[in-house]
Amino acid sequence: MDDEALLAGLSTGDTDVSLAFVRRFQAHVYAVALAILGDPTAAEDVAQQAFERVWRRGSTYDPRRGSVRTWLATITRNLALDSLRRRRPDPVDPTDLIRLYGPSPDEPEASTIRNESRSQLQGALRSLPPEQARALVMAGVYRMTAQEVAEAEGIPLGTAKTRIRSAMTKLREHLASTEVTSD
Amino acid sequence: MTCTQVEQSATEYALGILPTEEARAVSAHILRCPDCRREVDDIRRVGDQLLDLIPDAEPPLGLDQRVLSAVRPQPTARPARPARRPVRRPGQMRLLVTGAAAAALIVIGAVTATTLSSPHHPAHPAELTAILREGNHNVGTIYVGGHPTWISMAVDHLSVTGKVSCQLVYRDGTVTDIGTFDLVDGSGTWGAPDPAGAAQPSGARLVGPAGEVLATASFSAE
Repeated sequence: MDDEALLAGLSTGDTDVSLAFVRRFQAHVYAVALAILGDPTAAEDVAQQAFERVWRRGSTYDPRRGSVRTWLATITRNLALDSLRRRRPDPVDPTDLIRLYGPSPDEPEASTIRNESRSQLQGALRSLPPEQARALVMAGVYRMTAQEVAEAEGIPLGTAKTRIRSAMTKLREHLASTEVTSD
Repeated sequence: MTCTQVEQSATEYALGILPTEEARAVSAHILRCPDCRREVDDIRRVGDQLLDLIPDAEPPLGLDQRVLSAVRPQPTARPARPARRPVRRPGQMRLLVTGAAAAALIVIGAVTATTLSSPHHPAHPAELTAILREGNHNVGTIYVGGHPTWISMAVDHLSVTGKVSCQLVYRDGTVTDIGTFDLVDGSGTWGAPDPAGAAQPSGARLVGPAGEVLATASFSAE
């Protein structure tokens, strides 16, 4: 059953479908929560909240905005950031998360290269100058404002804005130029 | 705001991190400019895809069972509730985000019920509008919709001047802070990207500087 069909099946209340859905996505949902929170217990709480939210709002999934997996990840990310802000009002240190995006020669192929477009995105991010990749991860994943990025990196606001904008532009250009034409 | 100006702020806007005033200006522009709207949508999509790169992690044993136990009490979608107020056609529901408080704000309606109960994916993200009330008085309107999802709020006749915060309230009781804006002589308009993305709020509220609830709005017909 494809992801969208599985999501649609949640509304039937069928236990097998529900279990299949959770099992298909729990590793990713948990991973996103853990990457942001850094704490397994807090991450588990957020992962559970994310699934609960999906149960309540599954019918609001819009395929035009991305895959079910990505949609789940954004729900998880938003909950994780809410949790983080409640627990720690200071700006986040994104070092651990950024390390996940860095070059990792001994990563097993199967777990990182899930599909063509994902490997393109990974390659694109790694092709960015490190300071731009950092700014983009801070802004794009942690939803840090340009001001917060500037403070975290010790750079002027204008520089932070430029890094965020340039990183995204370069990322999109790289993705467009290496686009796989077959779907 | 011109397309060139919007391009400068597009990434920050799409990622939901642009300061409120600038975000309002971008929002007003993209309501009328499909090219810029497409650009913002694309950036947002790429931004979300950054999350795809996080490698899977082995979850704690039994997480799936715990999730199932937590969600089992409500395994089915909520039954449809009829809207209490007349519903305008989608074309009439768009709010223009402008500096002036009065214009184009008299939209009344609640579409939450039918959208939430649909077993199929909606053709468009839901658009919700509701009246903000302070006690028995109507003090403004709030609109959630658009693509990317945008929250617009317009307040008139509120007996408060100063900083107020907008919050979205969800059925599970959670509350999300959307942002803070200034009321002058009890009036103001304001907008922000919806940080919850695909989430559907059940209501909204306006809170004052001390956290006191000033006005509330309900999107559902409860």
